[in-house]
Amino acid sequence: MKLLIKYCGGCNPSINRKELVNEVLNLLRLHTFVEVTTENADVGLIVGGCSVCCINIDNIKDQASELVVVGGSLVDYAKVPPDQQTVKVMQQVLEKGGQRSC
Amino acid sequence: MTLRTPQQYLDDLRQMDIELYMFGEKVENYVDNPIIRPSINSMAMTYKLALDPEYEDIMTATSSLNGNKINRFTHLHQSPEDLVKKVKMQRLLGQKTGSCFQRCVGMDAFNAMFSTTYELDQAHGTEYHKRFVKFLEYVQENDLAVDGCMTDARGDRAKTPGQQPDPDAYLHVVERREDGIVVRGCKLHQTGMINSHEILVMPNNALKEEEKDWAVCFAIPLNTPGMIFVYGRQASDTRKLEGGNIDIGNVNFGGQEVMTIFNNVFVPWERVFMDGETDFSSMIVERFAGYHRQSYGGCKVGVGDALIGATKAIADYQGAAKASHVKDKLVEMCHLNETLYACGIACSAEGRKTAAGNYLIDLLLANICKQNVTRFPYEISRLAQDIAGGYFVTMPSEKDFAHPEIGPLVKKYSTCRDDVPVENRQRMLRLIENMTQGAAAVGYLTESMHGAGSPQAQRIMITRLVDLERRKAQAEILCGIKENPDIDW
Repeated sequence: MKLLIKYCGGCNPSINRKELVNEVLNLLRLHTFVEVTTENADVGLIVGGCSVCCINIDNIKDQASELVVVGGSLVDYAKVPPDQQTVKVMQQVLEKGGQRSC
Repeated sequence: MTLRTPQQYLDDLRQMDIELYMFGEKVENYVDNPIIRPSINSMAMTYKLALDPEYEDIMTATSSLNGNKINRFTHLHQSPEDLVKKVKMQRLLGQKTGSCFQRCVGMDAFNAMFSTTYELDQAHGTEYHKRFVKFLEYVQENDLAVDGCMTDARGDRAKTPGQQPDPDAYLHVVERREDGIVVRGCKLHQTGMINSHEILVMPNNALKEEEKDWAVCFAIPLNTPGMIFVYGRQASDTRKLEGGNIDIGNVNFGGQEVMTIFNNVFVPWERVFMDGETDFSSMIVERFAGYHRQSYGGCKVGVGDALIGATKAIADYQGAAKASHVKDKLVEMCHLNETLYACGIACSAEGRKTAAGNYLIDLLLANICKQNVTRFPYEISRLAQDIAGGYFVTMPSEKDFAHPEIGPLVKKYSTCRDDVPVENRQRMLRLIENMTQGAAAVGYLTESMHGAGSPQAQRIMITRLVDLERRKAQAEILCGIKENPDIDW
């Protein structure tokens, strides 16, 4: 799977964005081959530090077929408990990338 | 090259040959001077974060001049979203450094000068805007730090520049030559001056028609002949010479203010952006001050975040975190801090396009933002000191803690919770001291009061920008003194 990762600017994050991404990548790699890319991605993982998630998604839509949007404790705009966030993000990425987790 | 690395930035400063004085002596290697270096580290952070994918979304922008990816500190704001991102960038850097990171004055000067020179040229048929754009292209292409330079020495406050017994009280043109101008004067309180590559000078205030020599804007490299710099003292500054790293409070970062003397300095015409157009001096001042009053809704909030964090930590370390009044005071600190942020975001979201094409903040809301900044950091600091207790001003030095004989006793009687190392308490108390009355209080408190204009300057602007008569008429309609034209049913 070709995965694009885009961070918000991180002015006031309520989550550790880099740690979340590293954990998600580790989990994804248990299920599939992951190539992190900057264009023509199967899935774009948008990592906002708070619920505002101020990244301009319109600028990224051309670079990835599907998007998974994290905004603080939200994953694809739905609240997820902190201890389940990594798994939820991983599941969303696999699903939108046309794959399923075990 | 459009994004410099922190190392390249430090290398640039090492090549600067400037006339700098501190404690009555000339300073040769200021980059490695322990009093100055923390302020350089703060500026270097503006370069570091721009290269990090985790922060690039707010630290960088696309140049409106050449389409290149540039550091946001050199950017001309192209939308309200750009203005919002500026505030977010400043909050981020305040959090990362816990101090003033100094690069905002240049950014605010670029945006004020870009729009003002455009309108000035329209009115006077001059070519200042073209010259300024060329200068800004050079700044963006080389990712330069620029000091936006406004506040004059000002002499007798009851007199205008032209009335001063010493005309040098305000920087002015002393000679016009075929190849340029010669200027003399002094700019005080210059934030980050010797950490900059270039100086962008603006007039201090509105000017009368006959005060043409004081209506001058220009840019020069820091190492221009005739420039003299005198480093400003900060409370507890010599603690940085003591060798330890606990009593300085903030281990790596700090701010910087410099007395900047222009002792008959030559400026070539291609770097002159205003010369004698007194009718546009107030526009520059209002726009620069407006942008800078917006800035404080970001940078001071970031430093406030750091202070709130330190206060929460010391409450935990000292076993006071569960007391209801402590929790309530922390809530109050957050309320005040986020109110400042709300003001910074509001004046950005309400920004408008200028005739030159870049975006200007809502001036009324920016002045409201700064008026709050003149107060809230003081209250946040008072609450931090309340929760911290008095030990941050009576605690022995770190050398006493390390002393082979009395050290164990000092540690024994400085211990609160036995599961928290006493050094953690020491460090956190010193950080609170640093921000609320030490070296960083220059930026967090006094700069909040006087930077970008003292409180009365904002009240004058608020008076000018709020339509009180319209509000009076609305009240007269509501209470029936005037007929309500909306009631037609």
